[in-house]
Amino acid sequence: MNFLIIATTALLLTALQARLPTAWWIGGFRFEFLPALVAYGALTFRRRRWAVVLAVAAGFLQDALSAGPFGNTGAAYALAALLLVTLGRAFDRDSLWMQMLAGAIASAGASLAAIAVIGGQNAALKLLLLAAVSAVIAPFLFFVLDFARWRSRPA
Amino acid sequence: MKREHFVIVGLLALAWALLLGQPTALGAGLRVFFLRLATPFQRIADLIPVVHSHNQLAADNKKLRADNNTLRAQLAELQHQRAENQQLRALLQIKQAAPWRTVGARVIGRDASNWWKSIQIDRGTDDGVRPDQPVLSASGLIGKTIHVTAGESRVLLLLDPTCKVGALLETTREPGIVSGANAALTREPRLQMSFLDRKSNVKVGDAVYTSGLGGVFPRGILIGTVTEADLDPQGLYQNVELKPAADFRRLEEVMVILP
Repeated sequence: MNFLIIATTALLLTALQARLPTAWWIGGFRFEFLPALVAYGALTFRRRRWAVVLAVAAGFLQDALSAGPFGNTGAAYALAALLLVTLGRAFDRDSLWMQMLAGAIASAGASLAAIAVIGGQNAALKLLLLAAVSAVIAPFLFFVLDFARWRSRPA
Repeated sequence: MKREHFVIVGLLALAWALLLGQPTALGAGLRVFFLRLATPFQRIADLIPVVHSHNQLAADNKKLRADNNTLRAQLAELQHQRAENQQLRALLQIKQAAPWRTVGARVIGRDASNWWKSIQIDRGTDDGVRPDQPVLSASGLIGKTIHVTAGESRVLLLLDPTCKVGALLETTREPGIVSGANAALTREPRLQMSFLDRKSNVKVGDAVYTSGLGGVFPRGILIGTVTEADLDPQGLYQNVELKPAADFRRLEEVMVILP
């Protein structure tokens, strides 16, 4: 059941990410939700490999709906997940700040991987904005997924 | 006579005098005073029939709201169809005038990442689309197809820094390369033209067309107009900024040039 919830969420978030209109009023910004999912997996799954599997899958989903080189985001999310698993074992997973930091790290990882390909001219502000937005989205996703998984547990 | 009686008689006399006499300032003032005093109560009294017919009114209101919603939805649909119709007419004009074989496509998705600029269209190899085919809107060049599947294709937009197009200045016929401006946040979509001769006489408002060099984009498709030309004192070339001819913020229907 957990797998079903996470897989459905990943697909929904990917579709949302690709279908939402570009916010030109904040500089052609597009909302990204998958970094928050990567953060959730890394801080929630007991086994490190499942966190990495989710991160790679989320990255592949994003790359499949992007013009970027396939695998670029998957690799970045995987590295971010590994870092977050380590952090998650040292800090409180349920802390709001930890969740926000995890979302920001996952987002920044993907941004750095993209910048490595296309170049980082004037990209710092965009990287920071993306990380900040992911930091805000992450606690919401943690709450929703925790609730969904709690409701789906057998009595 | 008691004091109470004096008051009553006095008031009656005043009323009588006001009724029979010519309009006076006192009468007018009293009228206004009582009018103001009575009006709120009159409004309360007016509500009594409303209370009686409240159920009827509520039902009417509900029906009217439903009608209003239906009409709003129909109006929105008509406005949407009108806008779509205008876009399709513009595309049709280009299609009829253009020497190329083309296929119309609808935009069904955008890039899932912030770092690349692309769209997804609903035409693929089944419709004759292949990778590296130019894609146009009614106003100008959009980009080129990159990943093509049976029923869908991804179009790399001109706004992407990795999309390079051979271009010509309309006025001086000097060549350059047009690409997406950079990875920064920009409120308006912008392009940059590089490798343009530093001695070139570029003016704001000059149109830029595809040059046909490179083999992907045919010659003569409008790319955009010059908005800024900046001469780097140490550089070999001019830095030119363009406003794209196509409105990348409102891409709905596009046209793919087939091989």
